[in-house]
Amino acid sequence: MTEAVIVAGGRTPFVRAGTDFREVPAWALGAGISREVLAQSGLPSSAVDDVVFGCVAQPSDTANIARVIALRAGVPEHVPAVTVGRNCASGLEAVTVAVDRIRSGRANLVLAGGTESMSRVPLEYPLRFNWKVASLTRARSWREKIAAASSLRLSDFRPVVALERGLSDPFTGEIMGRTAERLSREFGISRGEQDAYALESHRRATASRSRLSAEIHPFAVPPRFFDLLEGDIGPRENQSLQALGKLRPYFDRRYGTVTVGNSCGITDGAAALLIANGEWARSLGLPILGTIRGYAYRGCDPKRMGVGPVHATPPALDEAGITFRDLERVELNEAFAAQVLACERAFASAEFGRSLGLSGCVGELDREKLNTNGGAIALGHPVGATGARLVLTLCHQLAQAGGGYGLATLCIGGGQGGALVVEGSPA
Amino acid sequence: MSWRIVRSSLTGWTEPLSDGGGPTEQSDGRILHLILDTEHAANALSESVLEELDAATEQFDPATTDAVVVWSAKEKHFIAGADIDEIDGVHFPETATAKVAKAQAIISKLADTPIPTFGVLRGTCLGGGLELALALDYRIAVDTPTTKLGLPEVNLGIIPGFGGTQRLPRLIGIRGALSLILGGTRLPATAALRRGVVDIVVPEDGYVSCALIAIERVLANDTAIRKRRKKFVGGFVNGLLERNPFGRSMIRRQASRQIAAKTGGHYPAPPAALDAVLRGFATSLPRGLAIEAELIGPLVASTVSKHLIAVFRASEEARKLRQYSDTPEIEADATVGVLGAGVMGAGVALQCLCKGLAVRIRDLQLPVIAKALETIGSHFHGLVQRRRMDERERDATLSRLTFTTEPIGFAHCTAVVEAIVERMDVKRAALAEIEPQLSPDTLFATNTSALSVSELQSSAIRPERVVGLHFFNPVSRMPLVEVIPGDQTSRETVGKAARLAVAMGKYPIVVKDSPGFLVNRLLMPYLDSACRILERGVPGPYVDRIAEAFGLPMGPFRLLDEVGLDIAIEVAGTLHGAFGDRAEPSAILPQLVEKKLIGKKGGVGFYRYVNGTPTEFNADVTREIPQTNDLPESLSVIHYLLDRLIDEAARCLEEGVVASADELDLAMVMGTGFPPFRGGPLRYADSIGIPGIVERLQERADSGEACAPCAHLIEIGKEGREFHCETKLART
Repeated sequence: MTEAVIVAGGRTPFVRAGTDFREVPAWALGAGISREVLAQSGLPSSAVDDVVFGCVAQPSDTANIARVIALRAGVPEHVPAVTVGRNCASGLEAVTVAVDRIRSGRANLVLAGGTESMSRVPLEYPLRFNWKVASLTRARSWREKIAAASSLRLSDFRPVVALERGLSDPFTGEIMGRTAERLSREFGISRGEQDAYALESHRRATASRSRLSAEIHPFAVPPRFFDLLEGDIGPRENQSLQALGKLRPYFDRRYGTVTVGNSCGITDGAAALLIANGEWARSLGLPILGTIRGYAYRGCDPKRMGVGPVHATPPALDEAGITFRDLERVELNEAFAAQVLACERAFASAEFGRSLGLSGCVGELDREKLNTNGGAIALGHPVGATGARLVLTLCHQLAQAGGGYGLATLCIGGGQGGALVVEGSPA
Repeated sequence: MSWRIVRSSLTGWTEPLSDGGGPTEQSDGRILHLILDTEHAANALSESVLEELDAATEQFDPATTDAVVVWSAKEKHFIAGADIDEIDGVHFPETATAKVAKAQAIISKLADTPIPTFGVLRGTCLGGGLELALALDYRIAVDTPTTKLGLPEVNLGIIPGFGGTQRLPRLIGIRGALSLILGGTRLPATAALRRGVVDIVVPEDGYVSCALIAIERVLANDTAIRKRRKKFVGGFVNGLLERNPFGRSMIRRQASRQIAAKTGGHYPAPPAALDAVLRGFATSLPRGLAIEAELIGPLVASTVSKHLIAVFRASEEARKLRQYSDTPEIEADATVGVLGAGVMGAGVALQCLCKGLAVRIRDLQLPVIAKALETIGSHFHGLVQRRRMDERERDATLSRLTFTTEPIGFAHCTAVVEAIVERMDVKRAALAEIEPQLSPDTLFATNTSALSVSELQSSAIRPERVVGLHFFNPVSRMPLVEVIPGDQTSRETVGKAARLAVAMGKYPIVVKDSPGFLVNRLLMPYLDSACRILERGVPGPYVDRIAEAFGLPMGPFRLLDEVGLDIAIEVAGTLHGAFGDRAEPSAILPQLVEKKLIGKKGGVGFYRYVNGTPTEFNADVTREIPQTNDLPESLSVIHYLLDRLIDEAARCLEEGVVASADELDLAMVMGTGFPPFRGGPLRYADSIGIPGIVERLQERADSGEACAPCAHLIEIGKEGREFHCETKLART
């Protein structure tokens, strides 16, 4: 089978929503990093055969945002572009779509990535407000106009936070944090464990700022470019158990353990990768950051979407022909500390493994190999971009570890897991 | 034949017009199409074109014709204006007035026919072109980026003469017309619609069918257009200001004040245009036209106009790049690499972005890049705040900019412009570092004002791609770029570099790779002369005032402060080394630099600066020089300042530093702001007489100054020739 390899990649700094990047449209984040990655690759933009980008909350002014990103990044007009959506794994979906394009011989080079501006998810008005405004604009006579206008009620003007809707399970209506609460109860994960895990995420992220900078390209803060952001602004040097302990549970005030401190942040950012046919890339002498050995998506109970990675990992490992023990590095997205810890326990549980049709447990997660640069709790989780970010980070980590296999996996709202196995190249 | 006259209908067209397509001839058709297609690249309203039009009006018979429609077969031009060669060829006011009156009469025939007349305006519709359009009943503009409407005559030292000063104010009101005529503004189609200059705008693709539909609708009913036009001339404010003599006198006072402030009294055209508009508005159209013809006569014959036309011509010529017609244009989506993010690098990057090019900028220091990004970002942010740009365009422009601290990602740049520190070893290192990754046809341009391009390129892998591109600071405002081929630079590279300058909206002049190139070499004797006047006890501000009254944008001492005295001394040193005694700098500059007084950027130079504005002359400069009470008169100061510059210019011409006197004059106008109405230093020399210059320089040389006139100058003076007579002969 044709090998799909990663030849270049980069990402913007990840920035808490509503702050520095609130002036930047999602396409500009994606286009900026794509243009940079293309330049760094040394390949002409005309070498790109396809463009695939993930984005969860596509802004209404940029339908098929991938096409906007492609053109603004200088990719020639005749190259097609598609936006893909698999909720939190949209960025990973972009990568796996690209992998399929390469493996099927449809493309030699695909620009794949993810972008998200959670700052710019709009407020929505209730649907009945839309209907009333529509009938107001249709009204011809004064009488009709007055009648239509007087049907408006104060409650019609109360906006709905679309971001919150987007982060709720469409099947059960339950907000994501609640699914994490369920896992924490079922797996018996205490508040203290979660906070300790969150603290560790910050510690690792702050300790590896210089290592992270290898994957980050600085981004100038519009509109005036007065600031040049060089790194993520999520990781906190002064984070402490005490400070985390003071936070009140956010999703379940009475019995809950999940706080904003032990969950990922609402974030803006983008990541882009160039994925190529391995043979073609080697013939051009391109550097190989990593080779994709396998991937899989699996569905699970929407109410327990947090353990999705445990469902998706075994088939991905199977495709790569390796076992859990062969993994040098694991990037498991930290949507919630409770969810990561639940995955850790489920991975090690023989019972859980048997429920997946395996003979025993999936494997023991070694914390020293897990999210060594910190994860989304510290860095942030721009939903559409994270999947691509995990793969990028994994490649860099494997390079630092001297090669070997790595796993990038995440849980997906709506009850899915995604997992992808990369074989890294030594730095 | 310049006009294709086709009797046809509103259907049965073959597009496009530019390939000889158009309406099919129908002998019983009721629409008369006049399609202008002159033999030149751009349509101009020459005498012969007007005469043919005159003949065509014979066919204007209301019994057989429902409408007359004027089109252009050129893709980018409706009519670019009157024929400049014809204007330039007129030397007597009476001839000009008579010719203009004749043209007015022909255009009036078009205006006076009872048949409805239409103009479909696509591409440039300037000067005479717009005036012809204004004589038509209805104007339909095509919304293309090349469509520009305006009356830029004042920029050439004349006023609109084919009825523009009369018909425009009657159409859109006095104030609207004055802002167009006095500003020489060029309006895009939509702005022209908004300001009432045109009645209808049609989209670009398929414009013919849209225009034909629009014509059919207007022929059926034009009340909407009539009603719309009232908005521009009717109303209460217009009644108060424009339709009564008191209001008009107020407008006149205010406009006169603005003109005086802007032109310093050196340009006679704007006041004449104001006069023509206001006097014409108060009387009938035929009388107004007579006033216009009367006023334009002396302007056409004036030397100011001749000089402005000469500079305009040279500038057009500079952008045509005739010798390099075989080098392809820079592609619209090309990426320009910029090495060095200092003031010049940021300026070059910004200019490229403004013109739609993509930029990749590199500097070793991230903070330096941050500063450059700040400059660039605030520029576009400012445009958005002043509503000159919308946010989508800003974001799109900024997304074309990437930056890096590493020497990577330049492989596919069309050109790499190096703007790092002026040291040969550093520049060589930068070239050596970046060149291996460049694709073979990438241009490498070095932005230098002093170093030798030949020397730099000798270390290159492909020396033929290395060329000098000398931008002037600030890049966004200085229109000149010196293109400097080294010994091994290929002709193709020179052409490409010049095309890049044009793509950046600049005027390229090719100059020889010799010390100081052209502009700096000519500036130094001028600035040095200023220092020597100072040494004789003449106060600096007095000299600056005289230079500014002469028309220069700033006096020599202000200019020195602006450039930076440290930089000036460096250039002076280079020139001294190259040209010996005659370029030995006055002692004043080194003294100031020794005291760390380096000009505006340091806060003190010849002047003291507070927040970048000069407050007072720095008395320390002249403390030890006894001040004279016997101030020289203005003219002798100007002579003293410019004589040596002219001598150096003669040397440059003789050495072949620049190809022609025209290019030299253009370079000084575009590169230093030498007053365009004086036509450049050589035209100025011609106008004051070469023998006088030789004599004065000789006198100065006799009194011990190292400024003996060069043999070339003496020869020209002796033979009674002028710098420009040869080129004049060549043209005729």
